[in-house]
Amino acid sequence: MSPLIAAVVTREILWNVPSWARALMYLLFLAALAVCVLGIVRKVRAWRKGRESGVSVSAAKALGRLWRDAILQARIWRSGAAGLSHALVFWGFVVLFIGTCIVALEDYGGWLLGREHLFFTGNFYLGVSFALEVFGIFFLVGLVLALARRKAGGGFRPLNRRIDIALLWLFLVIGLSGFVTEGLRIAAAGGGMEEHPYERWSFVGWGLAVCLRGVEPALLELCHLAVWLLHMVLSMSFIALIPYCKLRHIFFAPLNIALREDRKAGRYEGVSLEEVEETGRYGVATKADFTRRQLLSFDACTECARCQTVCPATTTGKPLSPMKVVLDIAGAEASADSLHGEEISPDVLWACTSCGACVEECPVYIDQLGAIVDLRRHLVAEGEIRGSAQGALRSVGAAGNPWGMPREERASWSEGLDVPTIEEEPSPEVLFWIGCAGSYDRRSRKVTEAMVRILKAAGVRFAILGKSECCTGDPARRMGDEFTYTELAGTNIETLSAASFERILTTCPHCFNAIANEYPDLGGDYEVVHHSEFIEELISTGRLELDEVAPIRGTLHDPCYLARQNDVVEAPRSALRSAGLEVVEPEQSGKEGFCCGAGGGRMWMEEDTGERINSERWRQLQETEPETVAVGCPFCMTMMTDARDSVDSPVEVKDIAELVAERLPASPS
Amino acid sequence: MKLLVTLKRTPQRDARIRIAEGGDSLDLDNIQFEVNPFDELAVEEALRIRETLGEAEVVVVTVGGEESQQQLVSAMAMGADRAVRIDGGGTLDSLQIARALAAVAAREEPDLVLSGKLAVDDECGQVPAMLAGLLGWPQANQASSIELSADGASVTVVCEVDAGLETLRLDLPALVTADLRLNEPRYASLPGIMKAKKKPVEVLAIEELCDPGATRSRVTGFRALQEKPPGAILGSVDELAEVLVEKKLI
Ligand code: SF4
Ligand code: SF4
Repeated sequence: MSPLIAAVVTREILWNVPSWARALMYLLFLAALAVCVLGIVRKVRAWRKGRESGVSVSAAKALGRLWRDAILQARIWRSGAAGLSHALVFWGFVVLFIGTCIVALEDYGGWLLGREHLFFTGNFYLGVSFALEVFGIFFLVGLVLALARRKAGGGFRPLNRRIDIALLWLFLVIGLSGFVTEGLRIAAAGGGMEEHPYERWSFVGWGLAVCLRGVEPALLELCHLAVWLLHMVLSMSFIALIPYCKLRHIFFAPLNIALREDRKAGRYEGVSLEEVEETGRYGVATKADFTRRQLLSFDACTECARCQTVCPATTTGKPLSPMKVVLDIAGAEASADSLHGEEISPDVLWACTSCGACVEECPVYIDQLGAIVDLRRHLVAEGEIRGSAQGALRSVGAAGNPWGMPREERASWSEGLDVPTIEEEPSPEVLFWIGCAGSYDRRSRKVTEAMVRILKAAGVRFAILGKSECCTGDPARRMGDEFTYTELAGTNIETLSAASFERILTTCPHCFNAIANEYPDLGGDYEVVHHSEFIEELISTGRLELDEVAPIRGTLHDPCYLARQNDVVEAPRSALRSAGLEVVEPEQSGKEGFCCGAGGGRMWMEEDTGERINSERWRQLQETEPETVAVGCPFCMTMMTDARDSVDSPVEVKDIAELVAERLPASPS
Repeated sequence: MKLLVTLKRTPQRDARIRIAEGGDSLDLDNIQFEVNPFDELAVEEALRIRETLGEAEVVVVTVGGEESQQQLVSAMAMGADRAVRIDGGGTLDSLQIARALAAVAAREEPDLVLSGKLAVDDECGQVPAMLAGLLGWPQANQASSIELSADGASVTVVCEVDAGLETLRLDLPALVTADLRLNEPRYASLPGIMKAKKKPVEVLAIEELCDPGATRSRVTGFRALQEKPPGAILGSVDELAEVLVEKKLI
């Protein structure tokens, strides 16, 4: 008779476990469960002290997210060995957990219904046993990999504290003792292995049992009980531990993944000025000033350190680590005490370039940048923004540009260039939004002029706003000053809505982000294109023709506000290739690009701790041995040029528009 | 403890000012105004003193029309407790303004008056000195640090003088003027502005306060600096020598 069809194919559950040990197990389980539930309840209570925030996710969407980011571990895979190790541990854990549930169901179900067996028999038993062996191995391999990575260092620099190592060992011992218990049981139970040849399906346990052949059954039984006790006690401690250490992400990470808000990192949550007027509260001072959703998200942190590994501030030695900010908030008491202090200091908060790398990287979708901006808003409310950054804020408010240049001179760059204003060209195809840098900054004005040449060569009907254009408010918003932002955005929306045009064209990704992603929240809906996309479009539709030239070797520094925040990755590359550039990619590029250091108002702040971010980026770019470094943002232009000059390099720094304009056919005249 | 800070409304520091046609006034249309930056340092210092003491009242005072209300609000947005505006036109001279301020000081009886070392518009810098003179109080000018004694009866002031630093001790009540290095003023933010709008501003007619006397100095005209001819970049040292000889500079 084939064992596969025998009805008795099963195993005795809790074999060799005397009743006192069973009683101990139930007692410990109840205690562990109570401790665990208590921990969760305390967390949930703390969230409820936060500001109310609606959840607007459909069930289907939430399930889709769970499938992608929890079950398939989509974001985790991006970090190579770390991804593999977590996925193995995760899948192993999930299947072992399901296995345990099946065993429990069989046991209690059978007892309730008064039947000896319920369903844990025959092929089902064998299949489950086999699966448990496979996933048990996954689990162990993942853990060993994780331990090895921590020993070896490198990679994304995981945390290596005692607790991190201890937790891995805890899992490892739980997993191993499970297998050993099984091996001992197969060796000794029900008259030995020969009576149960089908247990071969539990191939790891079987293998162990083979090694134990010939050992006294009584000794086997004694060892089995001892190892079983160890396995059980450790498993119970694990349950009790979950809410009190980073393991809590087992519960909260899926919750956050499912419930997170769908918002681009470059689109900030607005503030109702009426509410500020009413409550006098602005930004985050205490834990309770965060929304409930935010508080939940901070508790989902896995302490994986991915965010701080990609953070340009952390990696260049600034006092900011996005992970630490998240953990400091999560660890704070939900009292009325201010979160601001030595740990979350102004220096920490002002170090952020708002590049969004942390948000893009976090496997459990925590919005570190949103938290930093909320905390910055409080600093602004307290007037805790000084020096040149404050000067830029004031100038933006008073003069409509961060350098405090006169409004009347905003369009001076266009003198003699025959550039029509919107009054002269009332319904243009594109409204060319120049931006503050493009209007006033000497270097960036060259980019503006290059773009004008391209527009003329392609015969595009365009116009500029002239003196009525003013700062989009981006610097104010990133620095946490919603009041100034709202005022500037309001003025611009009024101007734009009074004009008629098909699209807005801009050479500044910060202007692009503000107008495209944030103005809609204030009622300004416009179609915006970045000049790299527009140039690419002009070339591919045949409106713009460029001279063929021998390619030169170059690299592209992706602007955070273009590639990462707005997914414009291919267009600039393709425009550059058309302009005769052989584009060599640096290690960090596209959506994973490394910031130039100017965003988030950093452009107007001193950088006096650690290495300079722009110099670090310049070093990275030089690894591609370029003749030209291409940029697509006026701030990147300043930062890369400064970095180049500080090392006296002969490498050119040019905007995409300039490189394209250089290839315009000489005019027939 | 009570601190009185005098302030003036001046054109925004980056603003480019033109002379109106006729040359007897300035074209201030489309110009934004702010609290004179040196007065802002004085406000900040008063707030810091209040923060160290834990308790003190900071009162700001200005002489000016309705429009200078805005600057009082800015100072209160930074944190000043209340404001006094002495309603007065633009033709008052320094001594008249000092008399009006002295009258307010006599009513308020502050322990310390703080002012900017000068206003960035006309750069006269006379009012604080005149005010101290009228009150008969000791004064210290161009302070880069102000420290209150433990018993609150005097202040130690480090002043920036041409040759270096001078340290003075003044018995209170006294007047101190602020220089650039005294502190970094805080930002008058949104919630601050909202709160400031609810803080009291007392408006007094100058005649109610004192007899300001006759105007003894008035502006008779403005003239712009002559525009400098643009610079030139020359190709070689020889060329430079040639130009210098040509212009009879060597
Ligand atoms: S946004 Fe960029 S600079 Fe700011 S914390 Fe995140 S990674 Fe660091
Ligand atoms: S915030 Fe996200 S990326 Fe950063 S440590 Fe926590 S889980 Fe990892």
